[in-house]
Parts: sequence; structure tokens; C-alpha cells
Amino acid sequence: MAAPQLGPAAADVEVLRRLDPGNAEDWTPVRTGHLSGWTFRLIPPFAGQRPFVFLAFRSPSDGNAFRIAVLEPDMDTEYGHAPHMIRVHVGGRPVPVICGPRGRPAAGLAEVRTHAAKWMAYTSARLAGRNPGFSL
Amino acid sequence: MTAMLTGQAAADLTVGPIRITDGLVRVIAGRLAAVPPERGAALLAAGRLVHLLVEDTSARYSRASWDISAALSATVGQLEAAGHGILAGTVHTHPAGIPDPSGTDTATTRDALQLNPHLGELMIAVVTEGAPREHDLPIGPGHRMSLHLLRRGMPGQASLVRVRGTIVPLAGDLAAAGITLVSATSIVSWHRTGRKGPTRPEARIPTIVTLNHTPRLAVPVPASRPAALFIHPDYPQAGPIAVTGRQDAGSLAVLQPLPSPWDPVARPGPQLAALARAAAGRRITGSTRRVWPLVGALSRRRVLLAGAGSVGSRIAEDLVRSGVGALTVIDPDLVDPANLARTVYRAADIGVPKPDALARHLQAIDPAVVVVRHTVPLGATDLARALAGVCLVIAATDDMTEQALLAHHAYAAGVPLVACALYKKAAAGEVVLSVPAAKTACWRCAVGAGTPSDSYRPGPDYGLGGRLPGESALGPSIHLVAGIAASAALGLLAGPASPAGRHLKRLLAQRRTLGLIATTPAWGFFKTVFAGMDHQHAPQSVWVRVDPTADCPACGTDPVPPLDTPAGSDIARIIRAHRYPTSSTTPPDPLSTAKFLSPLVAR
Repeated sequence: MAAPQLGPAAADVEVLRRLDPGNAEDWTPVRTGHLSGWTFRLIPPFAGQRPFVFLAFRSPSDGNAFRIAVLEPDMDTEYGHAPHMIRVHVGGRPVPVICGPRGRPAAGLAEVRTHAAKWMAYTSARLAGRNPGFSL
Repeated sequence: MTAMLTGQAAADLTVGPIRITDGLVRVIAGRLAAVPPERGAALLAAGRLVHLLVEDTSARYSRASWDISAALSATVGQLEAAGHGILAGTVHTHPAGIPDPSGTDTATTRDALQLNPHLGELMIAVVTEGAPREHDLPIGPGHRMSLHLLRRGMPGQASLVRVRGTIVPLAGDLAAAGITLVSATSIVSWHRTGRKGPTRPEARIPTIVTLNHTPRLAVPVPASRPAALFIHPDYPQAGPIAVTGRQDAGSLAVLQPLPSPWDPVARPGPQLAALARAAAGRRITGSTRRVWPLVGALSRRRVLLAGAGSVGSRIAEDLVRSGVGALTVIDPDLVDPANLARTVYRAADIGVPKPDALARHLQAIDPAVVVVRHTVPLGATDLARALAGVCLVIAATDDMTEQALLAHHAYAAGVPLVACALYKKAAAGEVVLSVPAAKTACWRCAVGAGTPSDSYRPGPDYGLGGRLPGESALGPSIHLVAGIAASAALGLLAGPASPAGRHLKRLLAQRRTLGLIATTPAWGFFKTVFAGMDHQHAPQSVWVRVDPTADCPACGTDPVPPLDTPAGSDIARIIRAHRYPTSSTTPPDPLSTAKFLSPLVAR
């Protein structure tokens, strides 16, 4: 059985060139001995909030799709938008992740960015004390 | 002790009857009443249950006296110190016509009471020829035994009262279960072999263990592993506890109590025998006789069961009834009242972790089955370790994300898997066969996220962390689908050459590994498939061909292992590094969230 793909996939890089040509979102490949993915940051729509930072990692058990963990802000225990945040286990360790409908992971980086942006928009509005006006 | 006649006293009915084992009655008949009087012994008890006779083989006896030996005192002390019981009193024979204690008997016992300040009372049992009077106990065919208690009163005073006795049918029940209850020893035999500990378990004098402040008689059960029954002094009104343990230098070093159900209004003998089998881990002879020709011997097979709900508990029962010898059960939930309608659980299981309740249920069916229990979420289990030695995985969880994780681990480990799930209202369900050796598709390729099956299931309940909610559905509908899964599981365990496995050969060869089972007529696309076939009715099944997806990390051409413990540690480290910069020992201000938290926390 092959080792997990550790470097950034060429296909991912191609997608990112299209999604964020200037890398304004600071897409950074993550390489550990056991994990492959990206970190990136998005600017929330409401002023006075720091950038939201995410880790998208490939999950072989989910067909190598991406699971998205929220690095900043830390709201694991305070709140999340439950219908789009579930808890998965990685190596026995629980990790809260943003997910698509029915708990689905993101098939590619475009979907990662979509899930993360929607979650950020919703959460940013709530942090600002505003009604998001939509449900994810 | 002497032969002075005393009149018959009325029994004090306010004192509960003295409980004497049937084994003790037999040895009194055989050792004391069978020879001319007088003959005497000390009696030891476990709480209220008098169970052991210590014959005074060093005493001086005459036709009218028993001069208690100093050796009896010493031996009783040693037996007490060795944990075999507490001195309850004495028993001795009298010449015919003298059925009650003499003045000397009382005086001697009063002296004994003074010498043993830890005792509140001592019993004097007198055996004579003749038919039992009211409250006497029969001893053999021609003798009777009266019972008297000398109770400590004011200093220097003690009162003797006659009391009733009752015979506890313990030795007989144990013997019917193949267990010997040692009810007697003597000064000679104790000093010859008893103190050293006889090598044969059946010759061991039972010891006393105290559980929840109640002394119990620990009776060894003959078995290939350490096993015992802890008998309650109120047997058979209160039941024994079956115990097994790990052998350590000849003693039960690590005790493990086993589920020990007891119905005080049912016959005690069969229940005792069942508990003895549980302690010994002994299967009931012939229990698999009618399935053996179909599946062969499965006692050495271990199955991992993830999810012990309406599907998993039923499949587990079928496997164990067919002879599967070991299960690993993973489920974090407790038995809930709503489970009673569709599972194997009972009212007494409510509030009990499902793996524990299922283990109890399965061991009541087959005392030999070994059940390893994990009461944590599937993903929190070390799956690579849990799969070691496993022949088959049954995936029956309500968490599709974790089911995908388990299926990947199983495929990577080369372990076949049978998954079973119900669709909305249990109108239909699915059974997935995933057999790495046959290069079938994995579970995710068959029914994972994005497949048609995913849309048939109930929507995930995020209040349950994304797990599937418990749908309203009839137990029989669920059992139909679970039964097909159990049948397939037995076929895989038994192998393709077996009658049970033969039917799977074609399905696996044609990669028809996704079974869709409709429990209701005209379900979904079945109404098209079976259109115009009016003789057809539910249940119906269609087995769909599923090919491995080329880029699937589990069953594709370039497989990737599941994320493991180091990957989890990496994620934790990355999260920590962002939230707690190495330059700071305190967490950063979590944005400017504080002022907004109050209304949100209450959400």
C-alpha cells in the first residue's frame, strides 16, 4: 500500500492558480510525515475581526476528499454552526471539521474554499452580533 | 459433651432458622450418626450459612461424653485464619432419648463463648436417634438434630434458646452442575493435606470472600481456566456470582465477575448450572449441532461488531448461536427504552452500555463466548489494534463517517466486511459485502457519500454529531435486512466450500456486492424492476454490481492507508501552533468575541 501523498498535488496547484491567482489567501501546503493538506486564511466580512484560518487535509477514508478544520478563531467549545460542523476522528483523536450537506467532505479545493467561506460568513455575522440572514 | 437429660424446650421462633447446607447434613449423617455416640465436631459458617464440619478426631469419647480436644480448637483457628469460615458452634451425638443439650454442653459452650469475644452466639447441635420433633432437622434415615443457640447476654450470663433449622439444597444443586462442595474435614485430614492445599480443585475446602459486606462461599468450578461461584448465604433466594480470573501462582489473582442473572422464583438447579458454565466458559454440548453441517466449527473465529443497535445486536446473536467464539463490540451508547422494541435488549439493560448488555445477552446464550467491549466512539478506538486477529467485520453503526473509517481500516488489513444499514422507515435496507481477497469494491465505493444509497438513508442529525437519527420502523422490517446480513456473514466465515458460503460465490465472482432489500412492496426502483410481476411481494432483493473505483484510496489501484495516530497528533500540533504561538504561553485573544458570546452561548 502506498504512503499518503505528502506534497501538494499538481492538480491542487492548478486549481489554486485559478481560485486565488495572487495567493491573497495565503494558501500554504502542509507536509508532515503523515498528513497532506493546505492552510489558508480568509478575511471576514465584518470589521474588527481577525482573519479566519483553516486547515484542509486529505482524508483517505473519505475517498481522499478534504476535511476542513478551523484553526482561527477557536470556537470548538463556544459554538459553531452545528449543521455544518461535525466531529471526525483522526487517528483516534476527535477533530471538529466543517462539512457539506449530510456531513460530506469537500471533494476538491474549490469546494473547500466554498465551505470555508460560507461558514466564515455565517460565523462572522454572528460574532458581530448580526443575523446572518441565511442558513448554511 | 455429656449425657444429662434436659426437657424439650420450645423453639424461639423470633430467631431466623439456622441455615445448614445439605452437604453438611450428609456428612453429619455419615461421620457422626453412623457411629455409636458420642462423636463431635465443630461447625464453621459463611455468614448465616453453616457449611463446614471439622471432625474432632483427637477427642476422647465415651458412650456419654465428648471431651473436646485442644487440637480441635487449634484447627478451627487455623481454618478461620485461612478464610474457610467462622466458628458457628458444635454438633455432637447423644445416646438415644437425649435430644437436647445437657448442662455440661451449655457450660462448655458458655466457656467457649467467653474465650471468643468476637462471637455473639454459638450453636449447639445435638444428634440423636429417632424421628424429628417439630423444628428438628432429619439426619439420615433414623436420626434427628436439634439446634440451640447460646447467646451472649449480660456479662457472665448467656441464654440458651432452641431454634429452628433449614436445609439449604446447595451441595445437591452444585453436584448436578458437576461441582463438588467440600463440607467436611477433620483434624487429621486438615493437618495431613488441607493446610498445604490439595492439588485437586474438587478437594478444596471453599473459602469465604466478602462482597458488599456480605460473606460469600467461594466454590471452585472445574474448568480449564480459573473459575468459581460466589454463593450467597441466602441461597437459593439470592443467587451466586459467577467469577473467572487470571491464574497467578495458583490463586485467583485477578477476578472478573460475569453477568450472573438469577430468578429467585425459578428452579435454582438449572440456574446454578448455567452460572457454572459461564464461570468455566463451557459451551452447552450440542448447541450448534444443527448448524454445524452448514457452517462448520466457528468457535475460533473472532468478529468485530461496530454498532450494537437494532441491526448489530441481532446479527451478533445469530453469529453466537451459530458458534462464533469471540466478538469485539464497539458502541458508545447506553441501552435506551426505545431500543427495547427492536433489539435483543431487555428492560433490565436500560442505562447499561450496549456492549456490556450485549455481552450479558450473548453469554447467556453461549457461556463460552468471549466478548471484548469498547464503550467509546468507533473513531476513538485504536482500529488497527482492534482488527488484529479478526476474521470478519460487521459494520452496523449510525455514523457514516466513522463507518467509512472502519471500512477503510478493514480493507487495508485485508479483513472482509459485511455492512448493513436501513433506509428511511426501514422500507428497505442495504447489505454490503467487501472482501479484499476477492478484490471487491470497498464499502465507500458501494454506498459511501454521494452514492444513491446515501440519499435513501435518513438525514444526519447534527444534534447527534452527524449520526443518523433513530427512525420509526418496525423491528421485523429491520430483522429482515439484518438477517440477510447475518446470513452473508456466516457464509463468509464458513468459507465458499461450505453450504452457508456457497451462495456467495456467484455474487462475489460477479461483484454483486451491494444487496438492496425492500421490506415493503413497490419500494423505489423495485416497482420498475418487478413491474407486472403481481405474484411478487416484499421482501425482495436486488444485488447490484459494484466495481472498485480506480482512484479509491481503499480499493483502487494505488491504495493509501487510513490516517493513523501520528496524523491525528500532527493535526493537534498544527491547531496548537496557530492558537498558541510559540512566542506566547497564553492563548491569543480569541478575536473580539467576548461581547457577543452571551447571546450565542444560549443558543
